Amino acid sequence: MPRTRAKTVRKTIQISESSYISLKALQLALDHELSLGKIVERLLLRFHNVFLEDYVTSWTYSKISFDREEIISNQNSHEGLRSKPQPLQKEVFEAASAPSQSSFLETLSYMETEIGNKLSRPKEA
Amino acid sequence: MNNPTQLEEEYTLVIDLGNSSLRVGIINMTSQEITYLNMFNQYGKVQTLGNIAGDKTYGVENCATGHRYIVGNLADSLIPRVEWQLSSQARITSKTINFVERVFALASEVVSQNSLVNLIVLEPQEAYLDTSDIPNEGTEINLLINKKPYTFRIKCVEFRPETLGSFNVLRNRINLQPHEKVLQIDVGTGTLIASIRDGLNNDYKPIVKDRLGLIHVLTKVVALPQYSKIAGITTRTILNSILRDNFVLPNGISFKEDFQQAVMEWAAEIVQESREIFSNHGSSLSALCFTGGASRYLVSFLPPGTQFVYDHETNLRGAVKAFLDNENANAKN
Repeated sequence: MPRTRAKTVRKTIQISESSYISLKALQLALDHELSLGKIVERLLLRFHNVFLEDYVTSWTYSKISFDREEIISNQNSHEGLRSKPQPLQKEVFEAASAPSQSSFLETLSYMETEIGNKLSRPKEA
Repeated sequence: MNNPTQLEEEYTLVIDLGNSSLRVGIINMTSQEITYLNMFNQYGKVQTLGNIAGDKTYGVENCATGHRYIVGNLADSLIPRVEWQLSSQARITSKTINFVERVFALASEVVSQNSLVNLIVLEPQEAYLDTSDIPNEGTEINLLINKKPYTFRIKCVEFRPETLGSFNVLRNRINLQPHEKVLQIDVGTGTLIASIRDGLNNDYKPIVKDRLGLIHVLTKVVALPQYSKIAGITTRTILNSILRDNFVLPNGISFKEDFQQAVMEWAAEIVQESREIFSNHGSSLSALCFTGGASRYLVSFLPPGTQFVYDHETNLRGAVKAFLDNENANAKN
């Protein structure tokens, strides 16, 4: 990646952090093969007052994790991005093979033991 | 740009209004496109809105009452801020913002300016609702949102159990038998909701503990002398650090150990609550399961195999899925 272009990407994203990340910034970042994870990570470093976890999982990630082609085709249209349907979390709703679940009382006893053990453990220096 | 004279479009808004956030799933009834939006509140503290980097603020004027609000902060990096002249009402608490203004400010990101709207409100139980705040069927709501006029006609209002969405995920995982009963503990940032569930979808009255969510831990940490004397340290500051997983305050002090201690005490309270519920239901409860974003902090105390659903928005997404499944089934019949 050429040095000057890398600077451009960084600057664009930093400027955008104060208000919004433009599609152009995203496109630039993708052009320079910054991974989506890296983009999000850089943004998150700057966001100290939002719920970061929600931010990643529920909003930003879903907003920028489309194909590069889609971003480019939508570059002049925020509306195009905003109205993109968000898929249901299919994996969440699918049945998973269930490991054996402890009984109600077993679970409570286990919790009490674990809490007791941790409470009695001397604090690390 | 949308035009108010356009033919109305119909949307269904599925609304999960918690203490720490407002989550809305917006379904376009024609295309069945779904959009999920979140608006974050600052837990338990009066806040000046619009001063948080990266947020979007909404200026909302209720045309019927003349009240003007700055509503919420949407962590949305794609949408630029909107300028709005603040009135003296700039300082508000999450509880004092009108339900309608908050929900529709958020929905205005997606719905057209002249819309027919169905509301599905997720709440733990009917008695918990402040229904005076929720519009009736047939109501027309006129709002200026960021200076654009919106008209929403309420077609239908429904209330659904808040934690059923995540329970439907659990149900598949634990292969619940028709007459088997389990206790679902849904742990949010503010509230803990304990619900008895069975394989026959019977509706048992949930037990709602307002301050036994993660706020229980946050409050304890903030109250410790070593933090309470530091200016600007609030439950929100602590929560933000936890969510960043660094457990460090803005001044560089780590509170991880104190957090872990507070979590242990919190877990002990949850065990005690669960024991009481069990004793009230004899031996009929076969398992204890956890849902809700904050339940992840309890994992280390639980036996292997205990079922969790701590993905964010599962209650909301589950309710959206149930709604669409029902719509599609009706369409086939």
